[in-house]
Amino acid sequence: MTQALITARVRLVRDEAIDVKIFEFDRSDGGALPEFTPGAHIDVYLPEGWIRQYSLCNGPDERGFYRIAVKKEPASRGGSRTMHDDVRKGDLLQIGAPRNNFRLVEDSDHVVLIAAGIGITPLLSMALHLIHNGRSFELHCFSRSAEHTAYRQLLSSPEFLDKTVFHLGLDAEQVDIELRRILGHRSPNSHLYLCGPGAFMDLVEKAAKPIWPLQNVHLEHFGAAPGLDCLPKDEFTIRLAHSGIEFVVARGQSVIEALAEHGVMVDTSCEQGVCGTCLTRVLEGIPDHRDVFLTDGEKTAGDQMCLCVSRAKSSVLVLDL
Amino acid sequence: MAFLKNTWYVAAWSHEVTDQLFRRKILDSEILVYRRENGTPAAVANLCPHRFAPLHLGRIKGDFVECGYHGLQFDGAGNCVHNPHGDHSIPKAAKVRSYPLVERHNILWIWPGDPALADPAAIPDYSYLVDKNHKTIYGGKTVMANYELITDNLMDASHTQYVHMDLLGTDAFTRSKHEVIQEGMTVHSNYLIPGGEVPLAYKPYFDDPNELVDYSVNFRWQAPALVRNSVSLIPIADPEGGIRRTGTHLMTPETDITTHYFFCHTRDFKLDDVLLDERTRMWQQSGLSEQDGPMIEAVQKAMGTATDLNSLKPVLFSIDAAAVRVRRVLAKLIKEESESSKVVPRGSGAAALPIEQ
Repeated sequence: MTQALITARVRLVRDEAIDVKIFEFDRSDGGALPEFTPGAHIDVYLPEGWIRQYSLCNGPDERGFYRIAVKKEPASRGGSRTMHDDVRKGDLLQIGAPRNNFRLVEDSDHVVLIAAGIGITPLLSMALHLIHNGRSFELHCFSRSAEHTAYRQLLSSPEFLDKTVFHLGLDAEQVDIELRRILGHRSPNSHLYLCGPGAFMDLVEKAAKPIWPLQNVHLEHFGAAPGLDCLPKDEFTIRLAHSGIEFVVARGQSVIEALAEHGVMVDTSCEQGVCGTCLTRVLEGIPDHRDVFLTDGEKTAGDQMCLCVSRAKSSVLVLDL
Repeated sequence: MAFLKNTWYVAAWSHEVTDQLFRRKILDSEILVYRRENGTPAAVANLCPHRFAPLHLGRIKGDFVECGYHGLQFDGAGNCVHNPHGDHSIPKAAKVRSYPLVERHNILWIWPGDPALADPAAIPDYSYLVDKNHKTIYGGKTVMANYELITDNLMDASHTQYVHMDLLGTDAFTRSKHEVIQEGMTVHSNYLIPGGEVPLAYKPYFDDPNELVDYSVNFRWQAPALVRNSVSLIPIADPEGGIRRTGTHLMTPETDITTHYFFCHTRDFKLDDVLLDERTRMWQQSGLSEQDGPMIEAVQKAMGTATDLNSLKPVLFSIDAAAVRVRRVLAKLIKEESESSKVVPRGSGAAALPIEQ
């Protein structure tokens, strides 16, 4: 898609939480930025040709600039690493006009917002909008720890106090139990919005399934629009921890095939992600699980993968081979 | 092979244990089940500690079992309560191992593990078997195969198109959708086969056997080998109509490579239709005796005495996803049990001797 680009100036860079930085943009020529609605994102054009999507976190009273929060992904080669390490106050960057694939339904009676990690970004904008309009909502933030939680201070302020619940440091099974509790009841005409990593979203969707109609559940995958480095990759790099060998897995090629091309033979059997023969530990990076062998909890943990079918959401995967 | 011990297994259907001594080998142990005078059942090791006579060769005396060899009597807790010889004294060691046994929902549940851990509240709910608005047709068979092979067979309904083509085959098979869901330690294997003809086995249930139906079969597994399948056949033309019925498949290992297979089918319609009872009995028996049974037993025969399918490195396919998940959950539970510090007590005295019959 081609779009008119805006030359934006970085007016602020601030550390927000562990591995999370906040960036604010305004127009370098002092002009007005296009309007946007809660849930919208912008494309950010980075040096070296990376294009990344980030959700806007501004509230309804905060116009004239765009605010985004970026989490640094450990396996990142481009997007989040460049944002964290190279982008400074005063820099000029090209950005796209806001687009919204994650709109808030206006006539709902109650809204449940569920965020995991940096998935808070589009939901924060929604929450601020809901507060501004005096509408009923609850916000659930799942995160590794308080220190990892972006916007923790804002979310602990009086206006959020009785609406926000932090769920910190839970393992996959605890998350599942908590989600089933949260989503086990539903008030009339309520809508559910969620944003987080794929495996988390799967858990939410499963927990919601019994009583939440599909049309009342709205989700934005971490990678899909407000993408960090979490989009399933056509091509990605495999690094082998023991030998240090590094190579690219091409589009349409399995990790097993790519390994074989480089002389590394891994036992495999079903080639369909069923039997678990090729299960291998992942030391770094985010696997894109395509198998049926691992449980949801194991997929969320992300520390092992079936090499025959699964791929990568991060640019690099480091395997225990 | 290691069995899960601290769990409830089916020892028998209630109606199998009458006023006679009832013996059954469960998890490699010979067990004797009988009813006391007030009808409450008890389970003890089927072996007199005196000269190792199997107790089932004796008789019931009131609340006690009398050994057929020398007349020693034991109560349901395994204590020797009567010695007809000499000064009638009873040594402390004169005891047979007893097993926690609970009768619920027409099933006698036995706990082969540590009796201190046996919690009747952990028995899964099978109340529909005794619900008066349901009719259940019971069956059972000892299958010459490892119990996990039977679970595999249940969690993979794709075999029905081949093994049970005549009874359960459907023209809509190629449109079937399959999903595997794990909730805690429960695994679901769900099939939806939309818009097909009613499979032959279900035609007797329909007034119009040529109706097109959405056919769904949902299997629900719980450890150790308890499978419930809910079947619905809903006519496309009449979403409120059709039938829903429940199959219950409960497996108890007899040995590594033989299994007591308890099955029954429950319906909530035509409760008094005796002809339908008979037809159900016929197809569930022939389905197992002529179709699943011979195939599973042939597989076990091909595996020899091996019980761990995975150790033979089978080439698996997508249809195996649910069976693989079940095997993983069960293996995890068995591993956790063997690692836990709780040691399962051996039966006291001679009754713990592994005497084969």
